[in-house]
Amino acid sequence: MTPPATHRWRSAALLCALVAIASRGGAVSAQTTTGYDGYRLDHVDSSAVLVATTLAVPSGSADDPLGLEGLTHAVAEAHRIALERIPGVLSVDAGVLRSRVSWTVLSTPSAADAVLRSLTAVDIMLDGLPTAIEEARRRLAFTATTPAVDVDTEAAGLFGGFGSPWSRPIRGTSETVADVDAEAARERWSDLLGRRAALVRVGPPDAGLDPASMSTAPRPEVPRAQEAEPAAPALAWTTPDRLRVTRDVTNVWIVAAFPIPSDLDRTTRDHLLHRIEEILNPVPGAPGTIGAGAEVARVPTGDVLVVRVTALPFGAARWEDRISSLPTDITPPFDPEFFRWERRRFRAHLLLRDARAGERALRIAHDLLETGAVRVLEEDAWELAPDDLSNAAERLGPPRILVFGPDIGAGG
Amino acid sequence: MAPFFVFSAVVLPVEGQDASSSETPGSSAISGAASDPLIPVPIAAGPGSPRILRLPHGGSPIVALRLFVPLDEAASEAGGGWIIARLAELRIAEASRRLGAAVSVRRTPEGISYAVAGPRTDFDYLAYILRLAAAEPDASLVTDVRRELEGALDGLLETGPGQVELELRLRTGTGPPVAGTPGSIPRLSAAAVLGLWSRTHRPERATLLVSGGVERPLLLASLTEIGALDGVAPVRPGGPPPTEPPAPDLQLIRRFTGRAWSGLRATDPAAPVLARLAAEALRTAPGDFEARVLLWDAGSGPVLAATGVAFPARFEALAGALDGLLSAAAELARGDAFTRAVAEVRREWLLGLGDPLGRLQIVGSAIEGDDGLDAARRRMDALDALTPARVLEAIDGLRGTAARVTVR
Repeated sequence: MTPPATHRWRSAALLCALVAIASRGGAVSAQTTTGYDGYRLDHVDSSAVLVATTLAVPSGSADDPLGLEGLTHAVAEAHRIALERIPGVLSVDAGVLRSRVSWTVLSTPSAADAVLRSLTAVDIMLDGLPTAIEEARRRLAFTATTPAVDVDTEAAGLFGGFGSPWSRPIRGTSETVADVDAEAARERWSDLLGRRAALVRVGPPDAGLDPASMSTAPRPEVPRAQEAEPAAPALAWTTPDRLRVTRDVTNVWIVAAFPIPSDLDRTTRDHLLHRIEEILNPVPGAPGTIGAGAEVARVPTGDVLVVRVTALPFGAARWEDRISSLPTDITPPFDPEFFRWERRRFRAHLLLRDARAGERALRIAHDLLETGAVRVLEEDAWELAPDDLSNAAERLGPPRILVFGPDIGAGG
Repeated sequence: MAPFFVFSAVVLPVEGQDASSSETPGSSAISGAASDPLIPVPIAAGPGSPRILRLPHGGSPIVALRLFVPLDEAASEAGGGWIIARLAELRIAEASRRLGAAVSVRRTPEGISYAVAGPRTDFDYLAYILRLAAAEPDASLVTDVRRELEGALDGLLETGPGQVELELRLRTGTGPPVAGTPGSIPRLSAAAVLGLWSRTHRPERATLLVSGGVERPLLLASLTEIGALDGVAPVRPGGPPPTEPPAPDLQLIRRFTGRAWSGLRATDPAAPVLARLAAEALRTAPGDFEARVLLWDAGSGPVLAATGVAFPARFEALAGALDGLLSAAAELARGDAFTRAVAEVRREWLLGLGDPLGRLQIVGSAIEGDDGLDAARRRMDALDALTPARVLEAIDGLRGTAARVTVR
């Protein structure tokens, strides 16, 4: 069997590597990089009691073959189901996006090596496939007519292009999922594991990699091909757009996406995301709002900041105005004290999230996939300057906005 | 605190719950290291200070603090601790939001825990939030919060399950429910609540559990002067328990009933395992009814309860299932269900350790119920060593203790 090439930063000596102190000032998170079955394995010592192991691959449902939409989702769920059966595994999160798939496994330290061996094993995944397909079909039968599915379809078309592979439904349809079989799953698995991946383990220092596991680890069955990272354009798009979809439903869904400049620093981007989430969720809550949130997504032409609001119809027009003006509403701080508190809140948000092993492992895996380096959040947050936020907001591209819901007259 | 705190309990779904990881007992040790993440070490503090315990933190940039204050409500004060906790929650909401700190205030049968977590560099502010949480309640707000509690309790008593649960709790508890009773709550004046706070929130009665790299002098300087500092603690009020008004008449179509068994030991892992076995037994019991299993802390130890609802024609099947529940659970304890139940409990406990506040809550509550610094570790080890025979023994200990309540 050919050892995997590339890109997983295979190192000649499996256990050699560097130890970087990932946190200064006495905070101790030692990051150790080793090789594991052709992957670069980043082990981060932390104060976590449990061990989190994440495998993240920069390929998602957009890469499903035509007619087999939902294949990546079925594979991800199959693997989740199979991994949950390993003794000592406490939880498994399978995240499937259009451009990325990841598994994060939370386990006891004694089970961590079994998790590592199983994460890349195709046979493990195939064990869970029948259950995953059955669950997917059942879910699709229940959700086929829900507005949320239609909202996602329309938003994906608006942001990624109607008819583009990227815009197809992540979970597929009842018909396409029915065609998913073991052979298709095995092929998709080989394709996924042939790509550049990030493998990260976060846990207590005594949960290090067992050298014995290195020699017995199964290898993926297909050699992986070299893959070049496409150069991202400056902005995903440069002209605004608006799509109004009228449906006789109870609520209004507004989904807007702002292109993010490709050179925007990740921590500044996260800061902007955090600030926008604060604006979207004031205390006390805005009247007529059912839910609001923001996230960063990768569309075929670049990264975008996606804002989602569900509101009662009477509040829809006001929300659309607020969302459209979000970038201009984030002005330089007039009061330095306001900025200092805002930055402290953001820092607390980052560090509290990072204190949970599963979230930290996933964050580090995303760091590695996007830049090849792991951020030191405790330090990065201090380096944010008062004008960074407004400068970043100002650089966002023009939004594409979907308004989905009943016809409510003027402004709708 | 949401109103459902009135009847806080571990509620076990009777629907199928996947015990995905059916690990054999004894195979999930989470530490063998010298610094056990479940065992705190004491820090020397001066007289009149809270007992201070520190958990290993591994150099985390996060500091988490949990202050526990034991409460011994008199019958006439029942519900006062709930009001103190709710007022604390409201008091720190804005301060914690300003920093983005994680906070938690819990009223348990033993007392109130106040917990906060955030960046180590913001320790001063975190300590301020904790002092604010344990500070004297604002007397002018007591009436509002008491009305909130009354409203929640009234809402429950207007339902069949609510009446069944309250009656079962009154019959099985060694003291009144932590959220008070219909008889005690209206009598809770601001003076009574402040008296309860002043009597209980003395620094020397409290325990501070810390996780994070904060130097001892800073810790002592920031947190020893916490709670009621001046004057003499008021005397605990005596007198008989308040008279309970009759429960409101309900116009019901279905019939509600419940059973509650007491006699389990607080530290015995057989209790949560048994509760899961009982839930599985009810799920597979024949008959057309709805039922659920609860495990609540009655002060003297866990109480296993099962409540259900059925139309009159199906009621006998429900009553039979509840009356035969211990035997059905015993049958399951002899089979594979035992392993699954142990795995579920272990999974729940371990996942609780996954964030800074969760670990403090688990370690802290174990110490309060057991009084040994290694209580959480021993509890985890006892779960790993649990056998079907021990569960059967616990079931035998419950036989003959059932309290029965039916609302027609």
